[in-house]
Amino acid sequence: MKPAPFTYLDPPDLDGVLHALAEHGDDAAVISGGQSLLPLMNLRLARPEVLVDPRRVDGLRGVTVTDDAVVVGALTTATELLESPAVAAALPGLSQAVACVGHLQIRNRGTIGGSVAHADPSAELPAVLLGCDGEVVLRSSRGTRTVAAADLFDGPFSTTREPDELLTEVRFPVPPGRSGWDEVARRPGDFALAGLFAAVDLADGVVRDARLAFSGLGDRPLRAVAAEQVLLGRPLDATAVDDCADAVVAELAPPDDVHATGAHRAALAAALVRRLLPGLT
Amino acid sequence: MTWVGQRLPRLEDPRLLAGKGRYTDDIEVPGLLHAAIVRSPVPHGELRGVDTSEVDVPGAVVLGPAELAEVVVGRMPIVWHMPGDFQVDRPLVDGRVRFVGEPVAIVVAADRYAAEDAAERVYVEVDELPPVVDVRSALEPDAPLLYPGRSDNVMSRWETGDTAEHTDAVFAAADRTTSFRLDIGRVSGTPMEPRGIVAVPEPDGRLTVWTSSQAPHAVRDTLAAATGTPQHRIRVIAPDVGGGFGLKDHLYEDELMACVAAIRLGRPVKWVEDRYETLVATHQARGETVDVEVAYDLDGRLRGLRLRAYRDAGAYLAHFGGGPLFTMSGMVPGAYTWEAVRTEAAVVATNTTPTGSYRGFGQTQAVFVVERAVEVVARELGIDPVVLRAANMIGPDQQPYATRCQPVTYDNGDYGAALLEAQRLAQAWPEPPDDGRLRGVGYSSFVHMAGVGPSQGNPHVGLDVGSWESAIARMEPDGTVRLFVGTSPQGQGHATTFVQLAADRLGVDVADIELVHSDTDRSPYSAYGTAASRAIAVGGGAVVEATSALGDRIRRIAAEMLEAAPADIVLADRKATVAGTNVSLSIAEVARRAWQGWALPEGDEMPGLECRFAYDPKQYTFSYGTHVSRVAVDPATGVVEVERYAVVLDCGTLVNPTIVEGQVHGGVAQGLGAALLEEIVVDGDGQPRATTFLDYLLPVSASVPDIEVVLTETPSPFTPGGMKGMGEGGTNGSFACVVNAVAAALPAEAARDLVTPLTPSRVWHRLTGRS
Amino acid sequence: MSPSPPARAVTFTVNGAPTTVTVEDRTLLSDALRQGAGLTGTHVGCEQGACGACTVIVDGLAVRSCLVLAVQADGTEVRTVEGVAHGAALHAVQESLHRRHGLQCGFCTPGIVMSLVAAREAGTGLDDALDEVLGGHLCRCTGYVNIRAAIVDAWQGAEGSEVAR
Repeated sequence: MKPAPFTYLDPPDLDGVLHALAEHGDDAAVISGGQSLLPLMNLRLARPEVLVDPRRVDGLRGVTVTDDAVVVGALTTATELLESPAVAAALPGLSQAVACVGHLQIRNRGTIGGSVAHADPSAELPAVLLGCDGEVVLRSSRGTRTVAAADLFDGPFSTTREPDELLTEVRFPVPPGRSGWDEVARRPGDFALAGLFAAVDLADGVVRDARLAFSGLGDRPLRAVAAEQVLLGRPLDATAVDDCADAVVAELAPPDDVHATGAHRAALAAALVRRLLPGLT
Repeated sequence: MTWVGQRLPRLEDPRLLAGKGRYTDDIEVPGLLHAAIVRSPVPHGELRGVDTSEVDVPGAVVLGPAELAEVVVGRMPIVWHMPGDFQVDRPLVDGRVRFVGEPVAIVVAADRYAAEDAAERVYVEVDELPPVVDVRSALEPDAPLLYPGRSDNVMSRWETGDTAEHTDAVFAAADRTTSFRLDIGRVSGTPMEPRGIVAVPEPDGRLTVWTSSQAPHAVRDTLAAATGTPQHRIRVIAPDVGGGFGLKDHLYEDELMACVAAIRLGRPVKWVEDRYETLVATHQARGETVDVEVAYDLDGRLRGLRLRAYRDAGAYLAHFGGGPLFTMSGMVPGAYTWEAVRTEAAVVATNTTPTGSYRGFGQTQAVFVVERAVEVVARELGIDPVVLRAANMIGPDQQPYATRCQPVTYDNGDYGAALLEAQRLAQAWPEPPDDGRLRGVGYSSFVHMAGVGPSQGNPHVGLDVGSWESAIARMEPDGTVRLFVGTSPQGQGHATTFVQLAADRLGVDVADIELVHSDTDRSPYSAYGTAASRAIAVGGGAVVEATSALGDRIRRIAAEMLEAAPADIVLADRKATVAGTNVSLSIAEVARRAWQGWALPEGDEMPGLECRFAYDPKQYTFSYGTHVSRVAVDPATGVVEVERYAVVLDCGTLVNPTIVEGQVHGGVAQGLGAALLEEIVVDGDGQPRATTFLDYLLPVSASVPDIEVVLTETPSPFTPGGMKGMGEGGTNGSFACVVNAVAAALPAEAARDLVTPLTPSRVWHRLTGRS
Repeated sequence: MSPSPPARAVTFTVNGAPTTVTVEDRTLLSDALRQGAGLTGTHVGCEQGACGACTVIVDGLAVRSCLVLAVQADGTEVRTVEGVAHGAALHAVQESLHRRHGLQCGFCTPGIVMSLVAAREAGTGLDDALDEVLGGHLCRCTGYVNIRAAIVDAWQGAEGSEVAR
């Protein structure tokens, strides 16, 4: 199917982009990589009258890795992020998650900012952001603000970004300890039935900090807060992992849908805990 | 050196690899308009018409039901009728819509983008009726009726095999009976190239139609009947076709609408399906529920098999009517001796996409039913399923074997040998790692009826078309050859394999022969087209006869020119040589003489060098084999991985073994996909839910392991050249094989009533015992 | 009546040749190549990015041309399957697919060729070529077995050989 008609704007600088978004408001959508937006537009499920493309704006691409955080320009492609050994070393859970996004050919154009802004409940990056207690920078002609992941995702394919705001930067604070990503998909490269970003910090043999952020179990990424608590103060042994997995099942109540029953998805979440956590010691 | 049997790399490849393939959407003609189809948004209703008042695309033209009816004065034929079928043909639009996605109107504009803009502003005016979306509901006494003149939604019903009385007696006499239900999920063949058509009114008043089809003559005939156009004024050409798998075996309503638009507007019109339309409107397949009962003795002897089978026809009977379910009921005895086999079958209409032909055409399901029966019985008896199979298989000395479902009579074969060879291959597989996953090994053995088929039998089973094939072999004055055939390739490599067959009989190089196909102006008539694993057996059989006859004539003329006896002339390396000497002529010299027309041998005086042969098989061909696979099931997630796969397949003459292996690989992948991944889902409101490739999951490379293929060659005693059809030999075995492997990993009680595909959810629920 | 959509000119290099096409803002690169530039070797199989048949190389990267707007490709270097072979001489990837019977109907093939060509040029290792690169393509005919064999041939045969490019 072909997209409905629209006007395409690729302003030469950030002011131009923000002005275009302010002018067109709800009638406009931002296109970055287009790998999530264009499939919807090609089905005419999304029909913005104006597409604003920030591709000519300087300074929106690139990755900066510090001890505290991985900071990613919104237009950084998934492939570009994967090519950074610094990211893989500092936040392996992020690199592993990005490696699962779609296919190589999709990753060559799909952007980190675009994936976060698209907020597909089955997507990897929103869960990673939530697991890191991350945040995004949103800019508009009205100013700049930072929104925490916990306040960003408010429903399926929905964020609290205002229509006139451009997401310019994604910040992944590096959780203490080791991180990882795993997912269960019908086929490699598919949207996962369930995915898990986990990070565990061990000190003196016991868990001092734990993060469990899931994709695919609800209408937005979910933190299994109670299950995280179950790990605190304990060694990361098989019993702790099992208790944690059971707690995840009790805490999350995924719905039934075309691809899986809720009970099955909960079991997948537990399986991911058992698969991923032991490797994070 | 013979060409037949060589693993010749395909002659058509360089063009396709370089992007020079010419598929239907690649066809451009001056003044071309583009179409989009307006489809019913509701599953059932009285169609009042279309409202075009809000269309605002400059130059767009809408042809609604009223305009279409002015051109479509005839009906679209259905070519296979079971006794009692009321639906022997259909009008294009009959005042009702019966499934979401049913074509209602066509919009034509300057390009596809504009046509879609216009199409979405055309409102279908429908008085909605309550739908039925599954067979059980459709059979309820007070179910809404799709065809109000009828008393129910049954489109077709029949019984095959033994009588009820005989079957009951066998069941009563057996030591034990067991029963289970199989829900065979609905699938979509989804070739990578979507359907498409370009209809071009010519200056001389003829209509040229380019279409992605397996059966250009069938398309022409339907188009002629529907529009009241004489057949000789229509030319249908299938250019390169990107896969067919059965569903491109006829002209569809939306394609017909594109032709109507071209006729009415006097302008060329192109319509190409998009992938949403594939998954909603292209005919789907299977969607069957089978209640199976098996009678057997404690020593493992299989005695009786009784089925009650329903197929969801969707909104109407497809081109081959109830054929797939009928074929299933005929082939369900499988490779075994039974005392009684009986099927009671019904095809039921529902407000869903119609179901039609798909690779296997009921034989995939037949193998599934009988191979599940074998596995269930073996498990109940606690014996090795391979042992149970071997003990019940028809032996080579019992061939030809008349099954309980006459007139099906197998020809030759050693089914047990194939089974044991498959077992040897499986036993050589390395032990799997101890990774916490459950392993299951599954087999499926089968007999494959192919090479459809003897035309003489067709009227007796309600088939309105012949199933013979013809070939014309013409050698040009320079010794090059054009070979005209009625079958059409969609990737099977006919441009190589048919040419290999011809080259051996003409003594020329494969580069000297061009296959001419898929053009009703040039190709000989074939109503059946390429389907039913018939092209190499029946089409190839005609090629063998035509080129043999041509070769004989070349030898006679050469003999005359060389003053030798025809029996002493050898055709090879582009030469006609007197055997045992170096006295020769080039074949080109012989050809030139034939077209000059003088000094030709007595009895051969008619000038020219062209032979035609029409081959009507006397028998079907029966190839056979066994598939074996090992799966790993993750008990925590239900995800299944097919780790190992091997196929032992007995074929007829292997014209090109590499191409045969490729057909097996692709068929295995399709069966695997149907077993584990592919599922057409319609919700309770009749709305399709699997409408993109993100919902309808095809196998990817990681889904399919490397496949060991062992081919044996038992030439058919009947087919000229000895070929047997095998194009469906991959899919017929693989669906059952993969399901059997998964079932072997499940607890026995969870492995009886099965629903396919075996998605991770279904597997997990069965493993954990949770409902 | 709404007016005809405005057209704009987009210029990119296709297989080394500067090419200007007239498109709407919404025209997909796949359609701009097929209709605007007359290069029908790139095929459209889903317009969702799922099947890979439309894969081309844009500025060195394999991408789905159905998920790129023609206007986004303005000023880029685009390579399609028509530019891969050198006259009658097939690229090593094409030759391997031919030798191994890695194509049947040929519809998915150009996309696979482009992904593999890009991978060869990027120095992608064999394992990644088999998993990550081929993993982005659907084929309904071959069951992938022979395509994998062709990739092994192309990678192993090309180690240090002149055939590889």
